[in-house]
Order: sequence, then C-alpha cells, then structure tokens
Amino acid sequence: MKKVVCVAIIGKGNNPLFIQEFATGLTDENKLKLHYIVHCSLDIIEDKPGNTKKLSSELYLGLLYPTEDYKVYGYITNSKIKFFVVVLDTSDIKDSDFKIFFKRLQNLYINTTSNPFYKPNTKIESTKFLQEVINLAPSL
Amino acid sequence: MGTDVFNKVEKINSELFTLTYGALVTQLIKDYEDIEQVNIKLEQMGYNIGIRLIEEFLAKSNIGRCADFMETAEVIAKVGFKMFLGVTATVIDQDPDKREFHLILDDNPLIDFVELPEQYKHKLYYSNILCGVIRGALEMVQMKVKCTFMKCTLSDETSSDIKVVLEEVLSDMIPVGYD
Repeated sequence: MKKVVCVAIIGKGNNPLFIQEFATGLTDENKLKLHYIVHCSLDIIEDKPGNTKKLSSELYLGLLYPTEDYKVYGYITNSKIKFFVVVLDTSDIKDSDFKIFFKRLQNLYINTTSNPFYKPNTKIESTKFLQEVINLAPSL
Repeated sequence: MGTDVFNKVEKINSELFTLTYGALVTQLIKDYEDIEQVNIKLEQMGYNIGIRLIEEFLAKSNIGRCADFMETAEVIAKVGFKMFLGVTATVIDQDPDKREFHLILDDNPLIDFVELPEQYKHKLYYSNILCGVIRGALEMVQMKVKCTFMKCTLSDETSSDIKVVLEEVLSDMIPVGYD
C-alpha cells in the first residue's frame, strides 16, 4: 500500500512549482481535491505564529492539516520554498522519517534549480526530477 | 601520474565551477540565439583557454615530448583531464595510422545538474569548450588537430564522445601561433 499520495513544492509567492500525485486511479476530481488540500495547508503555514518573523533553524513544520482521508506534513526553507507531503490518514510515520524525507526532497530540488536551463521560481518540468521524486516516494 | 598532478594543482568548489559554466552557456544562447553560433563560440573560448593552459600543464606535469600521437591521446585522457577536471577519460577507436582517436568521458563535471531542453538536444554541444581546449593546447605543441563532439550524454546518448583527428604536425620552425 502506497502511503504517499502527493508531493508538492510551492514557491516564495505561493505559486505552485511542482505537484505530483502518486495514488493510482485518481479521478480528476480527486486530483483537484489534493490541490485544494495543499492550498489549505498553505494558509495554515501563513497562520503559524512567529513564522514570518523569526528565521527558525527548524525547517520541518510537522503535521499541518489532518483531513478525513489524508494528513499533510510540511517543510519550509529559509528562502520560503514550501514542501508538502500528503499521506494517507491510516499511515503512521515517525517525524524523524519525515525529516529525512524532506531533506532528500530538498536536495533534489536544489539539484534541479542548479540546472542552468531552469528559470528560478517557475514550474519544474524536468523529467529527471519527476523520476527522482517517484523513486524517493516509497522510501517513506 | 594524473593523480599526483591533480594533488598539486589548486582546486575550486566544483559547484561554483559547474554553475559558472552553466551561466556562461545560457548567456551565450541568449546572446546568439543561433545554437550553431553558440557551439562555435564555445569552441573559440576553449581554444583561448587551451593555448594558455598548456603552459601550466607542461610546467606542473613534467611530461616530455610524446613519442607518437597515441601517447598524446593517453596523456590528454589520463593526465590532462585529471589535472584540470579531476576526472579521467578513456581512449578508444585508435586508427592504425595513428592519426585519430576518440575520448570517452564517463564523468564530466561540466554537466552536473544540467538537463538540456528538448529543443537543444542533438544541436547544442554543451561541453564544446573542451574541444577548443584540446585544439588550443595541442596547437601550442605543434600539433594541428580537429576536435569534434560526436555524442553527448545530455542529448540522451550513452556516453560523451570527443573525436580528435590529427591534421598535420606543424614544423618547429614556424613561430608558435603564427598561421
């Protein structure tokens, strides 16, 4: 059973850079729902007290948003790039595992932005990045 | 041999190097728009680097005159590439006349992180600067060569392949760089 349902990267101005669903047989409506969930999580990050002011060294934000089917975990870099992972509600994953996962995801993101042909803060269309995220997802 | 020299030379952060080169190539594409022009420009830049780099190479590596062109090939692949890029290349397809060889680059620090957009594949030779460096360096040691990229991993091909053809051995009497 796959635990990770969706991985999303949201840019500085809350513009989506990358959203990828993993569950098979998702209808368009379900995909839309995932996008919606990610957007809700964004609001929660904005609302987090102190988040805008102080630069915390702790990038991992923990559980952001539990819904009936899914749980959303977040991670924010000091340059305000947000990473989200949507997992199934039934999955039980330790925080430390999430931290490792996000760290790896961030490294993939860094490598992708280092591509001289990628324009920063635009949608990530790299197939290599997509493949690496797909490979990474089952590690959680 | 190559490793000894590699330990001797100054090093810089490889990411700085890769990103600087990436910025250079993308800027050239922006300026010239025509990919063929970019390839030519990269080669010329490499040539200008090569004619200077050979001095440092000869000074630090203590390598004497090569007996034949095939020895030159091995020196480029095992010492030259190691010294300046930290990787080694493999020499294949030497022709019996000893006037031609192919360099296979398994690992190329210039292309770390790089993913070519579809429209540039098989057109842009991203690491074409290397061809220029080889041509420039060899010209300074009295060998006029033609150096071309045959294959590039960035265009989904299996390996990076640089073909080097010896055109003529310049006479020692001609002043260096005087065509």
